[in-house]
Amino acid sequence: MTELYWMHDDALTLPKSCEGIASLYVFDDETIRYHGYGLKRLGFIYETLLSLPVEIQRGETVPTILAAMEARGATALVTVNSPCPRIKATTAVLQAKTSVKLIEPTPFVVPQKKLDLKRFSRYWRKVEKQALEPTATLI
Amino acid sequence: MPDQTKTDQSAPPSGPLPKDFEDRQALEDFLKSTFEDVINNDQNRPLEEHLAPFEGGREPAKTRLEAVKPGKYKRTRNYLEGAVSRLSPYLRHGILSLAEVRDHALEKATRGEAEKYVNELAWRDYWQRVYHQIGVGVWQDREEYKTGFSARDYANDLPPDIPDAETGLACIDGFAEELHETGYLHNHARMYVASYVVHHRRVKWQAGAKWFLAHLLDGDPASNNLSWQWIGSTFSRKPYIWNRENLEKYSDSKYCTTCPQRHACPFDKSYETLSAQLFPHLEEDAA
Repeated sequence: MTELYWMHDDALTLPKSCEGIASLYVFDDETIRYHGYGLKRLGFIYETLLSLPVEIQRGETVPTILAAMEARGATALVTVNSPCPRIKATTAVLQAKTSVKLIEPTPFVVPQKKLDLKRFSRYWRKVEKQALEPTATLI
Repeated sequence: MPDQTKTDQSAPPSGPLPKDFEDRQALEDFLKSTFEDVINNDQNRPLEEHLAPFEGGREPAKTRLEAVKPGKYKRTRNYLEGAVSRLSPYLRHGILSLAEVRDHALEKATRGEAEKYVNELAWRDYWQRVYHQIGVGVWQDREEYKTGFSARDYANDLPPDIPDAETGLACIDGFAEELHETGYLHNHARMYVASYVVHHRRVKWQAGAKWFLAHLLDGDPASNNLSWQWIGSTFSRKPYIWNRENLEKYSDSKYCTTCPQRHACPFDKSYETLSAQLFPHLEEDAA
């Protein structure tokens, strides 16, 4: 199965599991306006992309990704899960059109129970022990 | 060359973008000419003229990571010239993960030294978890203001003298200029500015948060907005305020000695006096 990796703003990196597959970043004017990015932010993102094995395109995100998949004969899309509502919405649209594999970023902590997020102090009391251990002991 | 010449007025430009640039200036020139209409869409804020003094990419991130000193961070992090890591733009965009930064800190320092640094990393993990839960709800007040005022008592828009760096207060103007020039502010400076905007000028935190997001390289709606809400008291038990003594201590008096308002400083008061002045209804309620 040929896959395409969609690199987005919350994960300007190529996960180990995606090394060797084609990857694409899309500068979407509406997304830039949505986030209110200025020159500095665009420059920081672009500079990061220059250091990565990723193709950079400009256009509307969904059609650009689908066109890139078609051009490569890709049958599945891979991307990193994100809490960003815009990325979530885009992912949902893509899921309706193609197979999408979501990768979870490396966790900071792996809580055993549901966390109370009302205040940081409550969260910290539950995760402190794990947070102060190396990642290798968590996963 | 990228195809930016579509004639269809209804469709935005599209096509592949280049990856070869002679130098940083060439990239800056390209971005200005290619995205001018997109990035300069807000007439109310100063246009950014240059790229930030933070180089994008994993190698620059790793160089900064190598320079992190968790023990020194613990002792000096509140000072504006303290040993903070300035990794936040790289964390924001997933160039580095919280987990690998934590691991690096634990390798380089004793647990006691690394504890505070890891605790600060945890704030970002916490904000992200809240963001997963509430999404665009990060733009809404999580709770009522605990200032004695209701949300309707706060102005919707940022007064232009704040982003224009024309308040006459050397600290606030200096922070605004630094934000626009570098795309970064020390966390303590962010707290000073946010407290000034929300509590001294009585402006909704959303207006300040939007301004910060437009300029901070590390700006994301979770960390940024929820931190503003923490200052404003809509996501904390009480409003955050500061005084001149605090600023002078942590800025080495950098701003106060030359401030045009140094003899009429609105921050040169005890916390009790400031609280009574800024939140008069709280005093009434307590009485």
